[in-house]
Amino acid sequence: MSVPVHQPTIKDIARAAGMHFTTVSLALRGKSRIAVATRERVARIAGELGYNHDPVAMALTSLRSGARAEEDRPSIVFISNNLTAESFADLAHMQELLAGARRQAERYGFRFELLLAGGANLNGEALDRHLAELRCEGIVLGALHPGLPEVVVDWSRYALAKIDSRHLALAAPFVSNDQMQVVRLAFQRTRALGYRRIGLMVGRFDEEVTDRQFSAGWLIEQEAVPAVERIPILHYPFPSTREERSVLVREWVRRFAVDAVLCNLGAADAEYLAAAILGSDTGPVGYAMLALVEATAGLAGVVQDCGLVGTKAVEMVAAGLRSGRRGESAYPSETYVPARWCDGASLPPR
Amino acid sequence: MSPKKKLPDGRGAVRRPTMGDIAALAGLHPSSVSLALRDSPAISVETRARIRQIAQEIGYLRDPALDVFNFRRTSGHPMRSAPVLAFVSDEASWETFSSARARCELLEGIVAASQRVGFVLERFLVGPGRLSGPRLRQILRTRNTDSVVVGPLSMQTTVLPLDWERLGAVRIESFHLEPALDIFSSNYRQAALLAVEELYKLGYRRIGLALGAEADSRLAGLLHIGFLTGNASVGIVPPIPACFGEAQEVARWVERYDVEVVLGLDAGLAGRFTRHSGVVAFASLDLAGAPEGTAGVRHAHSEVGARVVESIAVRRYIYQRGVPGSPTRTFVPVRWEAGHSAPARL
Repeated sequence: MSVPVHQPTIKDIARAAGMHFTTVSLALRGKSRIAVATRERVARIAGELGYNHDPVAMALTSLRSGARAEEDRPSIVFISNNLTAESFADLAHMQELLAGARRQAERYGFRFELLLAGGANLNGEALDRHLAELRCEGIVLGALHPGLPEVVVDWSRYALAKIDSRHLALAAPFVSNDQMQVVRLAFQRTRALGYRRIGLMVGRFDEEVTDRQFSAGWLIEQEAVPAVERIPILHYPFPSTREERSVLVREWVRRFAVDAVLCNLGAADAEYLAAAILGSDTGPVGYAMLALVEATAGLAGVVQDCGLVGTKAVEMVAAGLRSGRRGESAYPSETYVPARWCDGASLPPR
Repeated sequence: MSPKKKLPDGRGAVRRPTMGDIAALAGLHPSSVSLALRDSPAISVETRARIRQIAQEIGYLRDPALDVFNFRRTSGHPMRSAPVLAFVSDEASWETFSSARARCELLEGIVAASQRVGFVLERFLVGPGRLSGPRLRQILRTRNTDSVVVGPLSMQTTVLPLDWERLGAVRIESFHLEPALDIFSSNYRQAALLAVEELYKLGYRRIGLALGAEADSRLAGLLHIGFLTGNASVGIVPPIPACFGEAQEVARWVERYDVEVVLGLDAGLAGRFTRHSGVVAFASLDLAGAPEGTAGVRHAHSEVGARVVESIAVRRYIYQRGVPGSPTRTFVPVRWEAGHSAPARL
């Protein structure tokens, strides 16, 4: 290891700027009592000297009792363009995710803010200004709906992470539920329950935005079973209505004599699915829902840990800040959070 | 004393819990709490666990100002007290460790990032003839080392008995290891998926995956999974069954399935086989150390190393220790590089 070099301090900036170091400190923290021109000059000198403030350390410092007022703490901002139930498989998913993100942000000493952005009102420069007022250091982009207006921000100012929203071209660390593990877990459990004609239904869109994680889990599990047990995946189109999905499932179950349906949706879709396969003439068909938010009476399936997804997204932002990595990343990582299986009456042992 | 109390200035903020609060709740002296939170051997293991639990319950965070001070010190000046990051491998020696280019790049990334965030890196080898697990545990405990990076470990090391509850730790690859720590790895699934898609674009249709059985299981089947997904995605159904055998078996398999291009980790397979139309093409699933001009997948091993260190550094801030309830997997992306070992087919 080479000998560490001297890192510039605010005192170095103060000397170069010809002012007291406390003024520099206030200016770097964007205090309004320092003139805008002075703040800009200090920021420029800081940049020239290669001064790095450590935002995570700054955030933690602000936690000291009475050290600073709440609104002075730097923040991590969660931005979505669609904070409604449709943006997630289920509203409960989103609540858990936000709770996990908030908890982790506060652990690091950051404030956590939620912003609905995109469209004309809060976008571009206006959004950047608002983020500056919030003393935003890092952004978690979550559940950005592809059909809705794009969010435009000067990304280079912030440490970034995105949750799902894979269609978004922004090169930022990505955090998601581990759909490959979900499918593998569900297949193994269903097979252990005695089912031998197990089928997977998954949205074509879900498959694309997860870089085919569902097929990945499915295909490796198929390697281990006899060819006669292999059933092609039912890829339903996007968008599709419940009625359309019902028709597709019914035909597919009949055609391939499916005895257990693994469906990548949540509890809300269980009812029509049950009705659709009840009408099957090939005997009783079990089913499991792969995107449950919590163990649900009567339903077998996989409970996804959305809280941990939120937690990990904030951890990625903090890691970026810790290393001074802001803006788009040359090697955006992908982090996957595992889920757990729950038995239920919808998939009785065979 | 209530662990959370309004500030006297009436701004409504909640006072942060202190070590004094923990001491009051635990019925101990604050200095015992301080020692316990720093994992001093002077405090019994049970008491340390109890203190940590209380600290977590009331939301105690270490004094941040002191942390900042420590960080500035350690990142600006060489100090004896800089925190140590232990890197654990099960290679026979550092020479054999360095014999693989991929591992060198990984370690380079770890060294550079450690320097950046202010860790002093110490390296340990475990296994027969090297350190035993219990011995390493003792060393880490005696030196008060609280940050560990494990791996990539071979299939021979399946358990590592350290005091995980007092360590902030992650593993590199080592998918088979107990305990199940969070994993960082290059994206091997993407590597094979990308390779199949790129070879398809180059005109190959009979793409075969040849891996040693150990390599396949050491990487939790991720290369095989990516290979299957890639074939499905370009419409090659069914794909050629993967070959997990040794060189002789590979030759028979190439012939039997009329393989046009071999995908593998062993650059020695390049140019080794011929079929009626000429030499069988080769693409490497990890170009680190492969001869110049080989087609294949370029991994960012040093980036994996950097991510690992950054993750440990932010864990350390908030006393995040122990084995996670749900281990996550973080993958760093790879890139395709064209090369003469797999030329475009006309």
